[in-house]
Amino acid sequence: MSTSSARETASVAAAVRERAGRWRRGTPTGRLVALGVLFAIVVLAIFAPLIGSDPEAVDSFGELEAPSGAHFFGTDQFGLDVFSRVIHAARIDLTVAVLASLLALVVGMPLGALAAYRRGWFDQVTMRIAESFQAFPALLLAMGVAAALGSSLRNLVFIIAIVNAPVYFRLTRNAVIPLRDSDYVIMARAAGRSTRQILFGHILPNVREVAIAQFSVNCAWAIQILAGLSFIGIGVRLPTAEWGLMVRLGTDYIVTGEWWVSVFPGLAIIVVVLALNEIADSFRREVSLRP
Amino acid sequence: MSSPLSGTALLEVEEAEKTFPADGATVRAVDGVSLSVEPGEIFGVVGESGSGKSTLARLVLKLTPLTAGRISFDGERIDELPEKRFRERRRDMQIVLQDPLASFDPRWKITRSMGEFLQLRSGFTKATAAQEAVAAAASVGLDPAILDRYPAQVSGGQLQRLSIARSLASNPKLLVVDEPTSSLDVSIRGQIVNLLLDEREARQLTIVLISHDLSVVRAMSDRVAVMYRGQIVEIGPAADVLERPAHPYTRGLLEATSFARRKAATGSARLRGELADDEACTGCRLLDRCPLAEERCRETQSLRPLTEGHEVRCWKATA
Amino acid sequence: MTSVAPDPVRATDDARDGDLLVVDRLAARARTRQGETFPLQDITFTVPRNAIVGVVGESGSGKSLTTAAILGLLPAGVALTSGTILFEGRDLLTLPERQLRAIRGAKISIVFQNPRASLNPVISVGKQIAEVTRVHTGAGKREAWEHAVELLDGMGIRNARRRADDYPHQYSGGMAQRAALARALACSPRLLIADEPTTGLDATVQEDVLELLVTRIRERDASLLLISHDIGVIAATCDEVVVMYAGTVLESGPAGPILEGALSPYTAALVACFDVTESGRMRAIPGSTPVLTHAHAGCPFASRCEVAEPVCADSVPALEEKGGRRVACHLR
Repeated sequence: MSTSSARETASVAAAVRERAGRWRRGTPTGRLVALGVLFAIVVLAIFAPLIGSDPEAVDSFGELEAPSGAHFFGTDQFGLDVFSRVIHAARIDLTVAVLASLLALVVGMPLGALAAYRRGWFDQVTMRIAESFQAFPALLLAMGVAAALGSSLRNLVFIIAIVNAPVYFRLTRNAVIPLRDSDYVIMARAAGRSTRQILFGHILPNVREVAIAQFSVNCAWAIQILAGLSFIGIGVRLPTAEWGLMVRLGTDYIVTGEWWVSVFPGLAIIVVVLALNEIADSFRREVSLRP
Repeated sequence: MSSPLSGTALLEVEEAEKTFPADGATVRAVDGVSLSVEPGEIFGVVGESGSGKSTLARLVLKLTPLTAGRISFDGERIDELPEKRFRERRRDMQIVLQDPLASFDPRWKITRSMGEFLQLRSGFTKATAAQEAVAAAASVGLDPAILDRYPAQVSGGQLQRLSIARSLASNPKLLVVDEPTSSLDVSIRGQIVNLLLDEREARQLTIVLISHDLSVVRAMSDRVAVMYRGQIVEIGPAADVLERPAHPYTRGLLEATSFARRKAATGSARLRGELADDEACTGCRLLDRCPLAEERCRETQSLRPLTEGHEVRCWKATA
Repeated sequence: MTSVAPDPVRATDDARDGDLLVVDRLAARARTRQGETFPLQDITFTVPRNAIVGVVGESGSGKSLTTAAILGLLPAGVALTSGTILFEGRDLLTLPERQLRAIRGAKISIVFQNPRASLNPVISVGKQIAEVTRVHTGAGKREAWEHAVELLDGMGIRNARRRADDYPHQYSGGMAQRAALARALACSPRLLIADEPTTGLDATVQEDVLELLVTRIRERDASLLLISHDIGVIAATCDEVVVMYAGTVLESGPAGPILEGALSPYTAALVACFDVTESGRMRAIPGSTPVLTHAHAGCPFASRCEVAEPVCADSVPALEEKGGRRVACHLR
């Protein structure tokens, strides 16, 4: 490598380090820790097949073994390695959560912004629809739709998205209402900008932090719904690994002392949900501190 | 009649009304306002809170729909024109708002905000946008480096000048300025006033000035209308209305706000109490505060001529 | 012969014979996301007993921060770096919080521009005022209520007795400010600080409110520190005026002589901007207020001053007694 390109690389590296340093200093600690935790879990999930043993391989002689060197989190009543199942389950839980929340966002946010901006009958109608969806307890609604559509993983994504979309809708609508009367929006109208131009140019960018916070919370919520559905038997089925399902399978054994079957997947849910909530809170705090 | 249908008027407002529903009752923000503005003149609209002057500004620019009445611009009825057809006309009439910091999108660089208005110009191309923005900034005496900043990084006075440059970017015939100096330090308001006066000269611009600041209105206006609770109570040439006010409200307002007069205030024109939130009454709206109030004031009052071009809505007023 | 020990009561009285409030060389530093600023650099003024003192300043002058400092209510990130604030002879900056609280709200009360900031929205107006009276005079409920009604009436609220039962949101802006002022007077303070009390109110209301406030203050032999950007307001009400610019005081002293014959070029230019009677171009001060990212190297107004000389930019003018007032200017 010639000296000039070495110097170039060095300066680029320095620039990247400087940028990263600034980002780190500008990001609150809570958010950093939460992101770190999530990142670790994602890595574990991605490399799950390499790290853990086959999540569906039964060890008939090793049923209900306590955590040990061979099985970090012990084994369940079928002899399946809990650790491996926990990290494999991460793939499903996280993917479904993210996809469902993204779908809810893509549907709910533009509708909410449009409803707030246009007002009138469009606003009234969409609000009533959103409210009727939200009138049902989420789990019941999910159960109903699952019963109607069947509970394949793809359907589960849709179900959870349907349950979450009204939340995005109302959140965005509430965030846009104060913005639509702001002076710079009035000026944009005076400049002859169309509704679409104003929504995408001025209004949606200003609800970004609120949307990120909500996305994070929705992912947490999606995991809980998925876990809940699996817990009551509608979601994922054996032998697929999913945290909620695993918790359910282990409930009978807590009383008899084999706590690890439920506790580890339960902890996984808690840790991820907490991390996601912390990210959401940190964005919300940032928004509320703005003048 | 206060608005003779002279064919030359640039802006004509006839019996404009704007009502809002509020807490069950209806608020008559603008209640039968008529005026006409000639090309090249500066028309001042004076009033305090609740007078309806800001609502009037928004009605004129079709930023809020009329409840009743007619508005014509450059000889064409615009109140019934659908937005799609009206959009092209927007380049001919623009508005500058009170708070410059709120008038710019906080996330957009200044140059992008300027571009939003530059594109109204016929013959606009993206390639020349940057240069035209620079020219616009220079025309109000600002260093083009300011274009690369965000609104929060620019001082109030400079931002208001940019706001004016931006609204003039499409070369409008009419500029409505709503409280252009009220958010700014008194020592800077002269900068804005002088800038607007210069632009009027240079572009043969017509200006409608909305303000509660009588010094600014006095400095700029050719004609003045005084508004109180949705109605025009006095209208006429600026010198007449501001030097020889006829309506009790105008007199009270002038006495309360004049620095020189404060030092020598006699208190004879003092208005009692303050604006009550009562619903519109049929008689004079100033009844509960006017030092000259009488029984006859309960009847509906209309604008009547006092001298040439000077009208007042008070049966007791004399020239 | 026995010696007479100094009378402790008399000793305190002597200390109290001086000025009510003495602010001396106050300076502050603020830490913001963009860096450091020095919003107060050298604030010096006094409020005598039974006097009405106006503080005139534009944006960035430091007038609101100064009042916050007097009450020990500086916002986060802002700290005083030097100076003293003497109230009745005691330095407020060295007092423990407990004693400061005893002074705040009892001897010094404050009213802000937004009356909604001074009034509790969930308690009726009369009750709030009566509460202040009860706490500070030990009066009974009935007595305190009567006092509250009297105060409201004294600030020009019609039907005060009925209105005392209403909540702040039922008051219009002007009435709410009258109520806020009434409450500030309820504890019979020695010093009332009013920060832009009538800004934002209709012009026709401002005059009335200010007049009543001045009357009530004089009745009580109290002092009023009135902060405003409006020279008209100051001219109509104040005995003395303090002119602030960019964190320093440029002129202070008797209001009449200063407003009619200012020695500081800034004061003169500012007064000229207010005194508008003709049509046509208006007077303005070119440029804008400086950003206070460092301590002043010279006179802060030099860059905008019509009569500035080279010496003005080179050294900070000291606030000195000249022509019956104090002024900070090299050329006067």
